[in-house]
Amino acid sequence: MVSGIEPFNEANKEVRVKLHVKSVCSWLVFFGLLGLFLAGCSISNSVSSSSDSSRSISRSSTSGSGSQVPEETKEAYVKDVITYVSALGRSDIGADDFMRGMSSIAQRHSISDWEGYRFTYVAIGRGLRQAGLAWDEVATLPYLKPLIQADSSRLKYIKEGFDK
Amino acid sequence: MLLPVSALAGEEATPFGLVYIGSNTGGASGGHCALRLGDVAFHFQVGEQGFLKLVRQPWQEFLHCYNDIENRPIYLAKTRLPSGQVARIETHFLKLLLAQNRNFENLSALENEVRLLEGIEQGSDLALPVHRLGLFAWEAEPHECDETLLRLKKRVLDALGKDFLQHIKTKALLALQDVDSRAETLEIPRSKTQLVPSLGVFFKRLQESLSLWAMVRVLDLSIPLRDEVLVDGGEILPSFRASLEGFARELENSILALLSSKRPDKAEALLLQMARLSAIRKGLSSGRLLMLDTFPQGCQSVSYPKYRDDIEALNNLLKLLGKRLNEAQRRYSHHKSIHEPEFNYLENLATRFWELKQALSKKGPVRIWNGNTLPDRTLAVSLLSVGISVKGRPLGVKEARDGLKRYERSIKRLYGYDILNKNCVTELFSALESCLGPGRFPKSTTVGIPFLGFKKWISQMDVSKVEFYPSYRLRRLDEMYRGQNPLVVYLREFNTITSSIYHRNTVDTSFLLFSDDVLIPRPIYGCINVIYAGLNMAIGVLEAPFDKGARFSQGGWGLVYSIPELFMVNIRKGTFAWVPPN
Repeated sequence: MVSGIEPFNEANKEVRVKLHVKSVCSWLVFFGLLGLFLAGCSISNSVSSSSDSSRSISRSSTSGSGSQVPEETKEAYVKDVITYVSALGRSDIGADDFMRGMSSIAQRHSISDWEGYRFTYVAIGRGLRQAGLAWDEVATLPYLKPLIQADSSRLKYIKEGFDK
Repeated sequence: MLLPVSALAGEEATPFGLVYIGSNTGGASGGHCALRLGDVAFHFQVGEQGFLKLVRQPWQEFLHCYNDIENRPIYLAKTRLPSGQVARIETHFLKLLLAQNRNFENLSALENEVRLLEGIEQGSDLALPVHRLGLFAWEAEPHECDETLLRLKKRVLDALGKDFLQHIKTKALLALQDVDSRAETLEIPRSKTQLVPSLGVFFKRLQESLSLWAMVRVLDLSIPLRDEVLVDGGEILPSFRASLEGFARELENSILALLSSKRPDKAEALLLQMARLSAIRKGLSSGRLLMLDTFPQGCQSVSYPKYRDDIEALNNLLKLLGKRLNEAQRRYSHHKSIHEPEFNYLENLATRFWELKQALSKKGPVRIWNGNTLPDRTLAVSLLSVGISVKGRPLGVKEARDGLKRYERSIKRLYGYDILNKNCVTELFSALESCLGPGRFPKSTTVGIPFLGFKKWISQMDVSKVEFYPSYRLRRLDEMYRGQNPLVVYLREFNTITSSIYHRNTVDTSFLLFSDDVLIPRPIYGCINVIYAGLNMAIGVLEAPFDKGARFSQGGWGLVYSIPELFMVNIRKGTFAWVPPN
């Protein structure tokens, strides 16, 4: 599928010529005017734009069933949890707020019972580590207390992530 | 500065680079820019309400969307950066995404709260939306029971005590009476990475308590599922049956654990798990892969007249979806039990398959939605029906309205779109600048046009190579040239009438000749396309009473996109209804 995979140097003439031609052309008045008139960095999603065609059926079908495989979903979820927890760090937010935030992130990755998965706690541990917390501080964080108290194995998984 | 090769992001480490997406009709006609970071593309898109929002998309899906279906050429400038910096950039973009999601959730929560408080002030009977309650036949007669939920209820009472459900119900009602309606402290986001606290808590607490009450009622009365929320993904493969049974058992355990959880919003998750359990058990007893419909309520649909010219392509798509469903079942057959992400993948796949199958057989509309979703049907429940009155509570309607206005102003400032100064490329460069500091990347203020930004990137950054992904049509043409008589191929494929690769559609507007693969004759092709589009406009005038001006409009846009070709510039390349993904 990929062509022209050569270093971007003198030898890569095909790409250079194409870019050069585009460079010259891109300055033409019509391009500018049309660009202004037509541009917009959008591509349709179901809500926003030119979705009334069979093209959008294809996009909808492949986006909802194709490339975002469960492994990628889990990986993206784990990264988001790490980012969330590292952003909170020593924050004094309440447990309810924290859990609402977790639910919102999980829902974006099609997970409803985020409490039930070990990888959630491992990710929390990694986030805490990234935030620069010492391990002794973890169990005292107000937003984590109810989660940890509900099941002792959760702290073990958090530690696993913390030590990674 | 010398760095060891392993410390640089390149092919060996995380692929990193700027992506330039060529122009075509539809959105982003002037081109588009994105950042490739590993297996993900980050880019800024104008979405709902005209806000410019950061989007994260799997790289393969991104390619399929822009390079195949949109038929745009893509250039990827692979760039060398120390891997530590690439990791910092990834974290920064994830933070932007996190804060952005929180900001828009807050905006929506504040809007809900203002509506709620105004409703209370006016003394109207308030009905709050309960997510996933609409999956169940809420108004069903009491004698209609779901056998699965009946068994589940017995298990719950055995495990957690016979008063457990009544206890939760009472707690939920008490919480509904006690929710504090006073205005909360409002924190306005000052920057795009600032994670402000979750807002609209009054509304959320009411909603959570009401959901809990409704969830207990569903379980207590074993209310059955609505028939229309089920989709049929075909036969359950014998090898997959055990995995599905394992998942059903896991769901029961998950429900028991969630019932005891301190999570404030657990009712929504419980309603979903109960609905899934009921659907799976029904499916297992009938041998069919019965799942919950994942299309969101009110999503758009494409009517039959809009897709009838692409029936063949859509039949191919249906076959592909059926094949994927079977592949997924086979893949998960070896698992002792599947987890929620795998199950949701199946749900989304089965929903698309069922939707298309039904629509093609009945010549009906096809619902569309991009991305995976959890099944949800929201139902509004009146507070009065639960015996709750919110009259006489201290209100902060004015404060809430003022807060909403302030929040809206901040959101507009942060995410507003401006075609020259705040677009897909300026925001991308600005995000990079704010991550690693000025001077590392081309200045965001000097790169208003996607192609210009890409050119500057190549000249200023340490680009190891530029990968060129030709558009789908050009790739297919290239294959044909290699295997067939080039003259015959050219004569067949240079126009939209005899082309075997391209099929004409309404999105692409009126045009006759492809000008993206020719340079010198482009103005001549442009002339012919102008004449062709003009003729279509003229015929469109006559047809206007019958087609509501559709052909006239197509001709008009065809003319607009043909004019640049007179000046050697190609925008339109044609798009495809369906392209088999790799």
